[in-house]
Amino acid sequence: MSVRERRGVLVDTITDAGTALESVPRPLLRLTSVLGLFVVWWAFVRVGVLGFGFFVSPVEALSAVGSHLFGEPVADGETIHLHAGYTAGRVFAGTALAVAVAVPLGLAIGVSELLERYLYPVVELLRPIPPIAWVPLALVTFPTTRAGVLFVVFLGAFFPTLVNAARGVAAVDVEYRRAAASLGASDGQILRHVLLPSALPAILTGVSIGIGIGWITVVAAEMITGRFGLGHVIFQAYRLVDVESVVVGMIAVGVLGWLSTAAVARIGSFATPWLDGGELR
Amino acid sequence: MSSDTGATAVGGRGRIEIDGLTKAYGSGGDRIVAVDGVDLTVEPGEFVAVLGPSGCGKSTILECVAGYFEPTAGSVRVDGEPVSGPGPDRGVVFQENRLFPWKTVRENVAFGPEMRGRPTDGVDGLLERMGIAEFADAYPGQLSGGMAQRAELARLLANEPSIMLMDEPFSALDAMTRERMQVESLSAWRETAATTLFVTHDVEEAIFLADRVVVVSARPGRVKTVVDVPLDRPRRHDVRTSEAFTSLKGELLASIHGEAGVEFAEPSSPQGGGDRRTGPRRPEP
Repeated sequence: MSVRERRGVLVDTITDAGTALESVPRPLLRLTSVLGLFVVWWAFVRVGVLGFGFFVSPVEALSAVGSHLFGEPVADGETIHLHAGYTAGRVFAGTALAVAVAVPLGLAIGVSELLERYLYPVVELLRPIPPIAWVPLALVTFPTTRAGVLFVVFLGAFFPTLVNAARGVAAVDVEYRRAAASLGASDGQILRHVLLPSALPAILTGVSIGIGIGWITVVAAEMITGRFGLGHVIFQAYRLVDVESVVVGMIAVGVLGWLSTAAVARIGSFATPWLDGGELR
Repeated sequence: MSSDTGATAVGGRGRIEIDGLTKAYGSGGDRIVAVDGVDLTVEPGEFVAVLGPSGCGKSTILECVAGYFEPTAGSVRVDGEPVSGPGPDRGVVFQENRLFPWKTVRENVAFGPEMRGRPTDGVDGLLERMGIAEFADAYPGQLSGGMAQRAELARLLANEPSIMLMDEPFSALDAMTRERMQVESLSAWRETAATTLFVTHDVEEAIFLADRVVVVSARPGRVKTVVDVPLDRPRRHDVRTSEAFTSLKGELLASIHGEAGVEFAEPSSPQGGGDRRTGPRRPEP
């Protein structure tokens, strides 16, 4: 075989492999990707890269996850379900509150030049402060720790939603407003039927980012405060050198975070059916 | 004016009076006068084409009638009332369709009546008549250019405006679709008897559609000539090859020719505005 022929065979083989990879069903690909992570994890523990020699292996971690799922209490004597419920509830409530406040406010800022001028600088000033930096203030100012944590999660989800809503509305093509006005729509109707739906994809992006930051924030806040939540579990387990529980807590946060992002994406595509249309027939 | 059906069969609503309309943008050295002292009266039920080269401010005239801009000087009155903003009595069809992407075709067409609390029973019949009934539940993003312009025309008709303002509505369509849409808009005009102001840079389109063609000069936009179109209605495509048509075309081209010549003679004059898809039209010899 000449060099050229061999090169041809090589190219064919790579192309075939590529095609074969594309034909693998997606769930299987995802599973493969997760398995790949486990293999790397296992190798790190096995070889003892950095301090990973002290870490639990994927097998140990998964069996721990299994037994905790079936009700074995974590470090502080409560079940993982209870803690996960607290954390998820805080993320959900904090994000819901943030959406309820940020979307109308963002719309208002996007519509009104006056608000944009006087309110937006404050937003730009407060936005770069990490929500975690608010924890001490929140603990002092709010009557209960629970309310303080909720406020911090709210802040985490609030700014991305606000900024995206405001930018989304400001970016609405003026021609759509004109078309609506020429069809007899009032200002309120234009807000409801033109500005809001037009900005909806941007708002949903904001909510998606917001809920992600919500998860980051809630875990950190729970590490600092409180007796409940996955952040508390992880930090408590760390103090007790219960490495297994640390990993179980991390896995729980990962899975729940992924589920909530997927839920937002699902709600988003349900709320914006016009975006995944494509050509007819 | 020898036009027969429709054009004059109106209860007198939809009279447009443009009086010394001047519109300038910017200030100081950047000041651009788009339209300068335009006088034009459009009678109820009349179909008037505003014809001019690229960037001559013809769209600005239409936008002032629509109420999107305040004139810098002069006035625009509809049925005697000064225009103070957009309103459902003046329906607008834009160059590129402005259907709401987040509403289905049916929801788009029903938009006007729905916002104004009017019944929407007529919508399905209208979709049927415009040949877009099968796309009623599709989103605008799924439509071809021609179908989208049909839907936009249907949206305007559902609102029963006394005035239709059309800003180069078919210039983005291919030639065959464009000619079909021209016939379509003529029959819509005949049925509604709405006063129609139709902005175009296409000489044949202007003659084929209008009772009168208003030629606008470039920068600043001024009314240069007004030409009556004495062609019988209803018009069919073969009218384009008639002698009357060709001689009118010659007359209008001669009028624009000088205009485009001026435009080419001054390459430094700022371009832009109206015609996004075509450059200045070089008239045929």
